[in-house]
Amino acid sequence: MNWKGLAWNKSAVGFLFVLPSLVVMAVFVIVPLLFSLISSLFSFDIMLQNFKFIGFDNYHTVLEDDRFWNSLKNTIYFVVGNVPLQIALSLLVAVAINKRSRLNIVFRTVYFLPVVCSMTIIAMAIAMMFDFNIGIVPALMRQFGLPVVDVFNDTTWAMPAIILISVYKSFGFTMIILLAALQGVPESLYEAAEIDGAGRTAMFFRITLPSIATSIAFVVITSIIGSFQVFDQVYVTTKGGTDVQDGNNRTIHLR
Amino acid sequence: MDSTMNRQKGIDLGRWIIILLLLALAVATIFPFIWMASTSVKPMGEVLGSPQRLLPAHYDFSTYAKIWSEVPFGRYFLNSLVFSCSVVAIALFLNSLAGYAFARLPFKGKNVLFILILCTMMIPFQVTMTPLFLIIYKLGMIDTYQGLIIPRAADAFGIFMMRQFFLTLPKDLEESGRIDGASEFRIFFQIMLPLCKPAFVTLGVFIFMGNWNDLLYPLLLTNSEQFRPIQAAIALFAGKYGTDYSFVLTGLLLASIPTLVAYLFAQRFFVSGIAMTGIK
Repeated sequence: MNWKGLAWNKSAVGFLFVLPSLVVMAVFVIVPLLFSLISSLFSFDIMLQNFKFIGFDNYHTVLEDDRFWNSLKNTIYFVVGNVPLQIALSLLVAVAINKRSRLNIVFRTVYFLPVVCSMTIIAMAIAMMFDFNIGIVPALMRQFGLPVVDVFNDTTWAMPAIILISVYKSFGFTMIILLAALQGVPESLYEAAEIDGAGRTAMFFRITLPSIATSIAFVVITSIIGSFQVFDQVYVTTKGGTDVQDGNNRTIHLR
Repeated sequence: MDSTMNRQKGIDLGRWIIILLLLALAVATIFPFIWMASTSVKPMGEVLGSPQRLLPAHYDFSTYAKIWSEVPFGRYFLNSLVFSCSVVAIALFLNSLAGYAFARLPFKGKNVLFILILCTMMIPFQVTMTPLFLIIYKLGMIDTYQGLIIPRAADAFGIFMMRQFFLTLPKDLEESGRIDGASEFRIFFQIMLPLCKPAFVTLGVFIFMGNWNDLLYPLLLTNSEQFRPIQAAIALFAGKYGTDYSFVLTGLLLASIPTLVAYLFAQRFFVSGIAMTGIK
């Protein structure tokens, strides 16, 4: 028996299974990535002619562009606002509806509804609700004699509003991950704590939080990564002047 | 005795406050949907009128008829369906092939490849989108179904999920196939694929939702109405019909029906699928 041949055959079969996916990912993900990295060191025209090596000049240009710094500032503002709010809300809700009951399943289903809709749809609908002239929220506020701002055209309020939309759209997703983690916390821990006379707050900080720490870390990291890629809600609500600069730096700035 | 009773009462009050807060959050969550539905059937005068009411005084379903003729809404819908469903079918197949190999078949460079694939999950789309556009353009596939579908035919998340799924299946099944002398392909198609149904539903729903709801990607790769999927179309036509709220909202509602229906029918798959991504 030819063991070498057999091993090669087996190896070839495994590789064949992976090959189609590999080709797709190589052509449409890896090549574009490398192209972005390499082309950032060159200057060329829009028809992809006249490549000229210019080292880090493109980076220089970007770093000297106010739009870049403004966009970066706005993106960081978004991340810093969005991530803690979203995690805190979904954690509180997950703990509150952790017990299996009809009511809690209804709550879970409702909170998850915005997750399955597109950000485009959610952001547009909310932007329309808050429209200064004809939206229902300003109209109601006027009826109650409250001051009204044109949130999506106001440099102070646009970002908080966008953060609010993002939290609304996505907290259900984070909540489900945390709920799944909470299901894994053994009930006996709480029973023991109860016998020892621990209060709810103590149980939350001493049992719940440490038990689901890895899941919390997971959602924090994924939501930071996701938040840095924010696009849809900004594009839809403010037409934020989205810019692709230099082929590899995408930036947002509010007007 | 007294103190325990007080404490009992305190806990009950706390519970009620929590339920009230949860209820308030639920109302806030569902409010935009109710408002969308009610505004979509309000006559023009009521949409703009004051005072605003939550439910319409008169129902006017004319926009639901108008939207199909005023804009090529049916075409957008069809484009999204063709795009999302084709991606689901092709990606499920390719991802399960790759996932199976990563879970069960030995081959050279397997671990390195797998880690490489996982790493691609961390690349933001914005980094690759310009070159991706150029590649699709050079292939002459801008504004075609294949241009939308092929780049999405395999994805890291799907491969990862299928691998995790195959790892949970008992090895005996394929071993017996091997002893019988079946080829690896036959084992995959006749023994493993039929077992994938639950994983396929979960992953399929995810892929469908991701592609149906995507905005930037179809915005980038289409430029005519003929192939533009619905999200991109809505983002673009909304400006034109800006103040015709019932019209735009009708479009938004119709565009979210497929994912909402998919969710309500396949809820447990959604939940278990998401839970899986968080734990593993």
